[in-house]
Amino acid sequence: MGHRELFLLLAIGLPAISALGGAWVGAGWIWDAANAAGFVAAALVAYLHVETGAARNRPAAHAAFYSRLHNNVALLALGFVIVHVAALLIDDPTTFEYWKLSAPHYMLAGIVAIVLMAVVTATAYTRPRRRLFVTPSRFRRIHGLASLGLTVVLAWHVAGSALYFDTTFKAVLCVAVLVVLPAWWVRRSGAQSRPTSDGPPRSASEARDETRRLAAIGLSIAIVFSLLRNVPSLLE
Amino acid sequence: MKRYVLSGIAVASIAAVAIAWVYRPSMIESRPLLPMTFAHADHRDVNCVVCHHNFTDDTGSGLCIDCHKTNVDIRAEIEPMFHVLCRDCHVSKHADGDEAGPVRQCKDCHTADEDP
Repeated sequence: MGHRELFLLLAIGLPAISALGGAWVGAGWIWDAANAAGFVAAALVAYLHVETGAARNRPAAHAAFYSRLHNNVALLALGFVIVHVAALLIDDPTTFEYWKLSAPHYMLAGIVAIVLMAVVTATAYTRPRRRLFVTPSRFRRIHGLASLGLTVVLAWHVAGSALYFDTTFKAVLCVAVLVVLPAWWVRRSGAQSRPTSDGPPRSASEARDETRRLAAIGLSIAIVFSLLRNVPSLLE
Repeated sequence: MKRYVLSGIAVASIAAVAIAWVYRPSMIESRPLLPMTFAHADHRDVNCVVCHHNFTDDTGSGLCIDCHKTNVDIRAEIEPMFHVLCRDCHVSKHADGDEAGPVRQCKDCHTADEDP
């Protein structure tokens, strides 16, 4: 299974889990599409654990490509988070209540996840990274740990809000997809020896095209999820 | 210097979480309730005690908020308690193919009363 297939598995997996049992109910076109954008963002974060920017795990000819791809996908995940938040606030301004300290813990977890995501992304750029971290290995360790923490908080937000994962079974599966599957993949990849060749060299500019493909896949999933949720109620 | 910056960020984060932890219960209690539409007429097939449990279990009297908003033991859970009660019932009715109320969007319930 390639990395793009893994992203597809993660991004389709979350909406698919929500369909396991219970009612298949649409809550509005924008509402469902906005939440699906959140699923895609969560899947991209999990995917970033696999598609790391670390050059040491790549053939030398591909290091620049993967480094840029990791950076681009992180920005793409932030973009989907912004779409998720903005669309919900515009569609239903009552959701602004969830931005207050009195909000439920799983919504506060969502806010913490956004802050962590922005900090983890911003501090990975060359200039702040060199200013903040003494050595590259220290950066990798802290960046990795913070990202892991981010994924756990994100899973808490998605599963805890129970909007689509309304049974314990679904919530457990959601956490498994977001945390356990990427962790297993990273562990499995780590056990392999460093690749020396993986096809023709790939340039950093190719990463932009790959990111666009991932963005298109993510947007398609959000639109299809909203259609599948809401069309049946129109036909009733 | 670099170590101090990272340590400062870590300490500030922990302090922010601690402050939030201390002030959150009082903020929940002082937060005004959102406007709420609850049409009793649409809920005639639901036993009163499903919501008004205090009629039978001696846990208090008066309005829901007399306990759910002010009791320190349960006030932090007001949001999930009410949402789970309403939403799960609506979702299960949808699953059974019955007519049901709103299932997710906040604004579908949190509007000014029109049909008490």
